[in-house]
Amino acid sequence: MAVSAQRILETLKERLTSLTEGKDVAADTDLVGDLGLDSLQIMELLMEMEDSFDVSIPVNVIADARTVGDLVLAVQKLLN
Amino acid sequence: MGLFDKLASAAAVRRDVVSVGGLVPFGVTVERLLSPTEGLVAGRRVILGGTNNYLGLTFDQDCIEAGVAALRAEGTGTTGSRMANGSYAGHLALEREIADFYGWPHAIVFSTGYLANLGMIGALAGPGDVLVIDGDSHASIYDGCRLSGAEVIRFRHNNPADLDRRLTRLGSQARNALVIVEGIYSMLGDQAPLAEIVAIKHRHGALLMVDEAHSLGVLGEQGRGLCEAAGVMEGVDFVVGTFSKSLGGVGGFCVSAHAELGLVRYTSRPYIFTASPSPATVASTREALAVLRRQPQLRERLWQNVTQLHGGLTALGFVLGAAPSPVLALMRESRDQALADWQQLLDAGVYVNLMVPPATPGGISLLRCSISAAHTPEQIKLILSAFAGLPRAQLPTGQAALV
Repeated sequence: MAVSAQRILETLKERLTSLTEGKDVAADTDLVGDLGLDSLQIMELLMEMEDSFDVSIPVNVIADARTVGDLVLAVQKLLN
Repeated sequence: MGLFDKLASAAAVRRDVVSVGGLVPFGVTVERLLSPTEGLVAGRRVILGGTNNYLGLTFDQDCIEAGVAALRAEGTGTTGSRMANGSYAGHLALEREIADFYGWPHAIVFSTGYLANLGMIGALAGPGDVLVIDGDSHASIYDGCRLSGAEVIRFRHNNPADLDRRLTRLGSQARNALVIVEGIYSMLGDQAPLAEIVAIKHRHGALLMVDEAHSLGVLGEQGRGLCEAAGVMEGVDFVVGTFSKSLGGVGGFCVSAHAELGLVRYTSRPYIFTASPSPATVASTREALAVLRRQPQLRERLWQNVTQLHGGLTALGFVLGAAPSPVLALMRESRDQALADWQQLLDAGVYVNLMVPPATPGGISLLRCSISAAHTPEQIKLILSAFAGLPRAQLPTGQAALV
């Protein structure tokens, strides 16, 4: 399944923008530090991403993802 | 961030949840217990409405006598683990009796319910294996998953279709996956759709573990839990649970038809490296299990109380978290509202649990009651009249969907 990093990033940005009510999001944005997401919001965000891309993101993978870019890479790796 | 800085942020959270009465609702001091359902809190006599003491056995005379006799005969503690110091006859008898209760040949007793999940999940799964757990699982399940080093996938709470999707995505790996759910979820009191989950588990060839911590002694004709109530005992591979709630003791267990359970003793660190349950704890737990089996009327009393409280709260116009259950959760519109309500209930002589994020699912704040067979109808009436003084919640859009 070829899904580009760009498409994953766009989807993630779209979700994050609505979740944070319009904060700027880029690949190097820190999910907790910059966006102030709590663990429940991150969980919900991931479940939405899982539905969008028909993929299961293991909990242990998320633990290592600090930035939006980390998450994009993790999802892309799972898809390919 | 320094080591102590993390604790400083906990202090900030703690300051934030002091009630108007000056109490911190988490870890309240019960100055004296008067009965299974009454105690002194902040100097006043209150009805205990949040203790998980489902069958009210903490003051059962037979259980107390059994504990006292063991204390005199075998001493205060075991001073070490079963692996090093050996098992006492009571440990083995308790394992035989809990296995017999479930009608399965194998059982292992742990020192607490938390350790039972850590010990079982950590022993069964390792790096390269997959654990598929309900997203609203108890912390002990999450911690057991971490201990295992296995890949951990969550499915949406009580959503069999989502579980099915995730097992399908795993492909051939699903045949070696362990699915973990709970009988009754401790926050909202809702039950897993177990018959559907068992069917899905069979279809994918996965294994299934059910945590009956809040449903042992509560659900099923014999009180075995949701597995029995849903009629799917034979479709469940492992049942884990605790002695600390309906049996009024402390300790955890796993029972199974799989002979491999016996090998867990040699690989499970939370079993090997902790002190075994004390003689008095084992003895009172064994007696409590016998009481559970010979007094089904306790379960009937419990459910009469559930019906009375659930019906009463609904009639008062409150939004409850789930169908009638010994765990009844009232959703509040905000954390501050829940905190104010909690203090108001205490002032009216009723102690319940305050539950706020992140311990709760979906960021909701709850007042959580747990009902006991030992509550009298008069006490339930008093609890209801205390609740009658609270405002009815106007829930934010979206949260009603959780009901």
